[in-house]
Amino acid sequence: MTISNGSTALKTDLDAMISTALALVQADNAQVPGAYEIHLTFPGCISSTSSYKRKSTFPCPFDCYVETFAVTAAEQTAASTVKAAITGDGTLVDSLADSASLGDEGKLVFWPTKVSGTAGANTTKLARPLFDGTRTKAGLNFATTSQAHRVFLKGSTITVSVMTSSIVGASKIDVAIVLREFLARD
Amino acid sequence: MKVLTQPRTFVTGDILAPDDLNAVFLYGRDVVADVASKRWAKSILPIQCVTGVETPYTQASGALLVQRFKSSVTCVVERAFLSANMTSDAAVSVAITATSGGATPSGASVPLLSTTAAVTDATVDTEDTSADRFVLTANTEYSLTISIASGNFTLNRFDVILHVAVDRWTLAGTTSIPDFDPTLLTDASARDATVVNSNLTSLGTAAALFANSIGNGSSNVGALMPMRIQCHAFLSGTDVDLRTFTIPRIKTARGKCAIKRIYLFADMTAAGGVGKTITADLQNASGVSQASAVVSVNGVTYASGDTGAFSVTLDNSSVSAATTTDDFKLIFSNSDPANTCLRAVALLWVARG
Repeated sequence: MTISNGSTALKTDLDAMISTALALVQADNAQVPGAYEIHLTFPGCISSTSSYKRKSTFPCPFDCYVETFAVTAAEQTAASTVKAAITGDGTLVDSLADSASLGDEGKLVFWPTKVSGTAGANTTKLARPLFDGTRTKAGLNFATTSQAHRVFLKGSTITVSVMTSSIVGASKIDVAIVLREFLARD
Repeated sequence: MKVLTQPRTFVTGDILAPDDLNAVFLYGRDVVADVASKRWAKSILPIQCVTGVETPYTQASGALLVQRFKSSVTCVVERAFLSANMTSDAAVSVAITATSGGATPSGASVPLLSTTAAVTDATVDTEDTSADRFVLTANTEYSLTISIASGNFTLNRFDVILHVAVDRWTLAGTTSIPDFDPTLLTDASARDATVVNSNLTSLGTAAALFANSIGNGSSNVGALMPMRIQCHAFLSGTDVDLRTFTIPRIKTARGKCAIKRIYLFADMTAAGGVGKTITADLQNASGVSQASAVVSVNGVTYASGDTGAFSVTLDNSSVSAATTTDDFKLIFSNSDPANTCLRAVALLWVARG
């Protein structure tokens, strides 16, 4: 669309010229939040495995929303229980699932997840809220506002720990964490 | 999501004032600058060189443990961290080099990370941090090499964590950030249609770059972030449950994302025979293959390869909140019944858009 000197410029022409460009920028802005996953794998973990051998620790470079924390356990002893937890200094407590905590005393533990009945199979337990840009009102009651607090804070040290009551060595526990963040500005 | 609308509405029949046009152009300039500055996709790449529940990795003097990785896009390592439980007779170092040629990326120290001294207690966490900032070139394989100057080391757990940043504008094929600098009209210059058209052309050119940056444009690119999945010690007969990894889909109505490429790295106990392969197969919930990375280990103990470019949408706004009925899975396999694949690492690159 172009306009010409000497001709009448219509409202529709002028509006159309810029609205197309703005639509492209807006579509991009809508996609600015991105998500990706971290997988931490703990093969062969059994009930007597020392705690320092069944964890992984990493610093977080940005503020991000923890969308999904999924634990997959395979080939555990029948009726065994697998637990996994994230600790992060400075993060708030999430009251989901059972309240078991694993190690790292002195830090806050959130989102402990338990998997049961994984003999001879892959069993996954996860929680996955919808992220659509809607704000969750934060409050003091973590039971009702937990989604607002599932965050990793920039600079915090995150530790993922797993534990199992299984005694079968040929097994696997995989922890998947879906993180959502916004593109960083210069 | 705030809808971007022009600040002035034109009215047919009104006198077209320079202020009206300028207001629209200036709004476009600010919007382009604001959104374009949302630039860096940052991610965490944890590399579990040795996990604690494996047999501890023990090596004699001068021996090496190598982990390899590759990106399909140019990316920046902004920080590196070591988190380990181990013992050693002397300092254990981590170096990063290009696998081919052995060059150290400019800006990366040698070593990148180090325990700095002997480690005597495996139950105590050993840590180090590197603030080096260096660029990893696209389609170049890099190696993390863990070594000791003298004596032995035993690694019970050895994690190297990289903070990776990707500039989405680099991926969009642009050499500069989108920018719109309009020529403003004045009362003295009147409403010159040539100026108006030129401004709008410039705005349209800048806006078109956004279309590419989110992966909807012709170049179909987006800011990529790595997802690393590794499988340990498996043969052709290893239970498939031990070789299967659930990849939760992203439950979202915003932040579209897709898996774009899979690199596969395989370390074998011994050189493989003719026709022996390691495979990482990305499947949907129904077991239908979406992409498959296959590497031949014929005559070698280490091999790498990739799927080539593809696109599998990872987001799904209606995916189940509590079950995996819609999720993807990655299944590793070894065609050899006797030659153990010590470690297969799949590096998936996930794009926005």
